[in-house]
Amino acid sequence: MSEHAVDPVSKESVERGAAFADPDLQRPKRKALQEHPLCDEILLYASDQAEAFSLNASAKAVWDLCDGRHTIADICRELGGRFECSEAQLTADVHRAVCRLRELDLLEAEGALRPKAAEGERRP
Amino acid sequence: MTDARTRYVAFDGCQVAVCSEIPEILAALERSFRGMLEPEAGDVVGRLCAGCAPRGYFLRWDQDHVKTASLDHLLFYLNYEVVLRLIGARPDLVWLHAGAAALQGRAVLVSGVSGRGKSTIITSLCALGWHFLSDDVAPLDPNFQTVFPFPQTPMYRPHAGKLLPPSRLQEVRKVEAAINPAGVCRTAVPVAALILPSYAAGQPAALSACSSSSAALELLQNCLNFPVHGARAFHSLCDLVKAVPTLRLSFSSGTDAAQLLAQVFLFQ
Repeated sequence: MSEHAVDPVSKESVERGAAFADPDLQRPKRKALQEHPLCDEILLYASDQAEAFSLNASAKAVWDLCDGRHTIADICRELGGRFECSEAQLTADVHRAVCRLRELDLLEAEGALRPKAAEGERRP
Repeated sequence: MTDARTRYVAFDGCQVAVCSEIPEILAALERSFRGMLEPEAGDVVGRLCAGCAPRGYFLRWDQDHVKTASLDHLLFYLNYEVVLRLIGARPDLVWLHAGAAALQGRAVLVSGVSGRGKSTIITSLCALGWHFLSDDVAPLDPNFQTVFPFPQTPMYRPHAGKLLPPSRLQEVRKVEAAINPAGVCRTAVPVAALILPSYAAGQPAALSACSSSSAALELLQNCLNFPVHGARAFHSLCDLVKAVPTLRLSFSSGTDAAQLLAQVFLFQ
């Protein structure tokens, strides 16, 4: 990898864009909300919206892994191991959960979800 | 000095003074707050004045006022404004839209939006010998998880014979429930259970488990002074549902529902 600035129209940029379009490579990151765990569930409070949200056990499991480091594929793999079911079985559920969390505005905006630059790579 | 035209509605040492020249208004106020009237004691947190205006009635406070055409509307505003001032006088408490009754020093909190059957259940529990704490507004001490008495006269809607949508609830006029003055609790009581009622036409009374997060969400929706507390109320109410059993109660008969609650409560 050359160490020059990435040209917005270079091949590399296009490939990066394609990678970002793959939903499995998104790294959802939860917003900084007030959290209160209740048994295996969790209640969230968004003070800016003055709204509270209740997540059941499976939604909480996804929420906990929305840390901006795990990709959706990582989340499926992690939960697959935890709940002893295949990654493929979980994929649709995890996508649905992340989609719902995003609809409720509980995750950071998409722009913050770009895959991290590979080590040694430079950004413009 | 006591004025014959003024009544003092009291809560935990705070008083709201209501004055009126109209006997009907004073009589209605006395009915609504029978268990909360006290002689003037000094710590007056609000003053309201109600009376007749051209083509209706007025309610005045500080520099503001409302006018209404009907006495019913005036009395609604008057009750609301009295309660609002008492809530404002104790911002340290978390005020819930809930009823409460106690037995053997432990209270059940019955929370829910209008029309869920709070008053029916509370008055039915009191008919079984429980102590009355509150019908509609329950002040909760978030530090000790105790509920204070706020014994407004309970008003319930007689059974309409069918389930009504919220928009039609007002068609059924509330009637006053008789509470023995000796049965009114005068001290704060620890909360031992949270009940979320719902009317189920023709069904026997039944209790079912309610997840803590659903219960907390319902309590938050029924918190009357949430903006005062924000995150503090959020965590306090979550702590409460973690500490006590939370149950959904579906019922069609208040008496059956109260008997079921009493059985469960006594064996807890």
